[in-house]
Amino acid sequence: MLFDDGGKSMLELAGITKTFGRHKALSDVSLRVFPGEIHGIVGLNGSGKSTLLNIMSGSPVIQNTGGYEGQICIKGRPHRLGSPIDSLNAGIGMIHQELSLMDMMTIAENIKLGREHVFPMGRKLLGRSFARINPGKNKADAQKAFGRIGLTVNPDQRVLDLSASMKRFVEVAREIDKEALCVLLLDEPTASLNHLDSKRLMALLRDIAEKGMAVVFVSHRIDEVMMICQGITVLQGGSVRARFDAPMFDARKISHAMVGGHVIKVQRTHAPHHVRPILNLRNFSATAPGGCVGPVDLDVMDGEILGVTGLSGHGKSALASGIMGMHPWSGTVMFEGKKIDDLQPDHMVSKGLTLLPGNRRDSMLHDHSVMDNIVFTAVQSKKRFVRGFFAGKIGLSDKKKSRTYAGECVSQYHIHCRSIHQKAGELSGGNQQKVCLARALASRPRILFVNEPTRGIDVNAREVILALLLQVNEQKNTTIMITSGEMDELKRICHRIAVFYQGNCVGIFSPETDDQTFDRAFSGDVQGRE
Amino acid sequence: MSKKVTLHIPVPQVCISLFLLLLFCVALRIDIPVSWLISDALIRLVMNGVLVLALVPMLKTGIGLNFGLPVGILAGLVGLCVAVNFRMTGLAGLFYAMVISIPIAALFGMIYAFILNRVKGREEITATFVGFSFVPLMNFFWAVAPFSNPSMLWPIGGQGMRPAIGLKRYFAKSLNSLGSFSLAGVTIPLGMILFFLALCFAVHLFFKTRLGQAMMATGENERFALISGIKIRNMRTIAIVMSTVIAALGICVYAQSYGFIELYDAPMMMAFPAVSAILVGGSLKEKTTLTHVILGTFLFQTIYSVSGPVANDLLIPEVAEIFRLMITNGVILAALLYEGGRHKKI
Repeated sequence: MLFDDGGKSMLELAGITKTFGRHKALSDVSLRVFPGEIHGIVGLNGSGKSTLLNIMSGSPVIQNTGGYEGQICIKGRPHRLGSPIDSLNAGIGMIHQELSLMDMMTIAENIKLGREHVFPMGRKLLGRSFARINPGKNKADAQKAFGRIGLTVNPDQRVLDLSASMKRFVEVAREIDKEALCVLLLDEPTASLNHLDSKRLMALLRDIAEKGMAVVFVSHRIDEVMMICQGITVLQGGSVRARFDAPMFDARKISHAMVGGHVIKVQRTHAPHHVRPILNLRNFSATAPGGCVGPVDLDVMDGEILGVTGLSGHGKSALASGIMGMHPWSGTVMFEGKKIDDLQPDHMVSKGLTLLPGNRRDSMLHDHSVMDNIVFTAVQSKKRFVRGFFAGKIGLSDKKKSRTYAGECVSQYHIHCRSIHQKAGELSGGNQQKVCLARALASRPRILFVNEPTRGIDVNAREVILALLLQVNEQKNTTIMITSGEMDELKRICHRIAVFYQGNCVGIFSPETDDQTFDRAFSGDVQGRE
Repeated sequence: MSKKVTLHIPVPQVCISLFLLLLFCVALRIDIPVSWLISDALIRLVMNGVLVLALVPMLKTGIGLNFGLPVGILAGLVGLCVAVNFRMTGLAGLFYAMVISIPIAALFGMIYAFILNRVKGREEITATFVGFSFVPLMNFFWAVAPFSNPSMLWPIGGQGMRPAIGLKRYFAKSLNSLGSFSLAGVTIPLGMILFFLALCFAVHLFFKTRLGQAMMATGENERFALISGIKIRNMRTIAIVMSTVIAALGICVYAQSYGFIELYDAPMMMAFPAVSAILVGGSLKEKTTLTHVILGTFLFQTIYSVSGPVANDLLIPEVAEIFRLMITNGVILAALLYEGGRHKKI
């Protein structure tokens, strides 16, 4: 017992300090979470949230870099969490930002992985490792776990076929199926979910907490944290900056504590000035791994910012990658009034269409410098920053021009890096996203497709990125199509918002449309045109 | 702004170098002429180095280790045979063989690329069997090829190629002796080393071009390359053709140094020493550099050439070979295990 509270707290941290080499990631962090409490941890990228969760979940990264200092108590008993097994035995469960499920396995197999029921005779004869698994009992357990979270599923269904939100619920079910579980840690669980799925998940977390569990909820979405948490700890630079208790929440005060100043929210001020369509889709369909889209008719106007939204798995993200020719497609695509017969990524890029994928792993060369990343697409598609030989067929990169341009981007886009020669993979998420955006813009696109531009990014960097998109749209007249589940952001910067349901565009709405109409559009029961 | 300086010590390479140093010390002690060992090491570096260099384009483009190196080697052998058939001699003969082998290698490379592009993700094992099946196919060609120089053909019957064709009367050692000089008893094959370095520099320069950067990006992050407008299939094809062409040049250099053209099943296993050498050099797939090529070839080939005479002198010949292979392969395996262990996830 670290705090004098009569041994009531479920999780207690005292004086947690962690250093990576000379860098102090956490400094004297203390925290208490009571049974039935959902406690929020918020902070900018690099404030130490993930390190704190890694310590509590016994991540090998912590152990391999010298362990941690300080004490951790669960139910009043001290624990040294040196491995994930220690964490599991102490009753801690963890749900990571990225889904960690076996896609080819069934729901029941995923939930019981490593803790399967086996037939007793086999266990006696051959030991637990070689005994035959009892699938009936495992399925029953899976159903029981889902019953506890108020859902009914077919435990034989493969995880591959589930939607993103359902996969998240499988992870929650897997954790609460662990008998000893008393503390549940969640790292940005709603980052990959849209707001309706997020609401479902949060209702579920409330239920879990009411049954006596302690929940630690890490998120960049302050509104969500305020909605479900009873206490909020704000981390800044590895230290506890402020604490807030349930009735005293104030979004401005929380973001002020996170950033150390006020965040000015970006808002589009210019009225739409589009007059003619730049991209026409007729009867267009595309099949991507995350969902299918179409057949859809859609006109994208020259110089507008078009928001594309919908529930996960309803095809919104397949639209942009389909137009870029990255997935099987059918229908008609017209760009600047001319029909494009063959959608191939290289053709589309050379025509001036650029895609910024939601997954930053796909849109960067992590081992290359910030400069190399920024100029790459422009070098390849537009032959910018190249000194050409043999009529430009073979060109060497023009280092001087590249350096100058990358330097300009770093200062203009507020990219925080040691120098333009620092590896892009070493930057924080927000700065990586700025590099990706700078790369996409260096090729001077006519249309920029942006998928989930602010996913997993802190409140400060998020506004910088939205401001950049607005600036590019207004100053360079670049048409932008943003695919996102963040309605608040879409409403602030888009001229029009298209809502997709089961692969079809159910309506195109003005950003001023009320939330209820959007909610109904998400469930497909409203048709709307601006 | 301060820049953090980190010193990365390549432990496996240091271990092998220390073992090599030990071998040299023993050689000195038992009066094996070290100058002769060094001369041999230099020649073996270039002789095998070009074949090791041939692995680089495919590695950097993310296709993996080119276990189908025999495809390029066979193209080079055709070029060599054509040069011998026309009784070309000296450096001109070697040059002629190289020029002939380039288009043949390019053609073979295209076919090879067609196959590898159909089996994305399983390239290495497929490449191994492409190599294995290409050798017997060419065996048929060697048996019926319409060459007319009697020194290449079976003496009885006068038809079909001999398994080994001597190059002494044509262009054996022509590159070895180009500009070579002696320094403190060590023969330095200057022309040969310069040729190798020039080839390395050309490959290095190629990967600095727009095309080279596109290939490199394909290897590092294929999805990124795709959204940047790069034609992935073309990049892979170019890498495979390049690899095959360099392998053809490699066998020309190898054969003139060895003094023989070896046909039929000889190229079957030639990919393995090259692959071992680049791994010993510390290559990590897409992050392969020319240092890995040069250092790896030097360490791998020198350890083999030095350990032979030393073991023969120290032990009875029957045991010597067993011990030699045990220790040298053991050291290489230990180095590779260390490299693998350093990069394991958990």
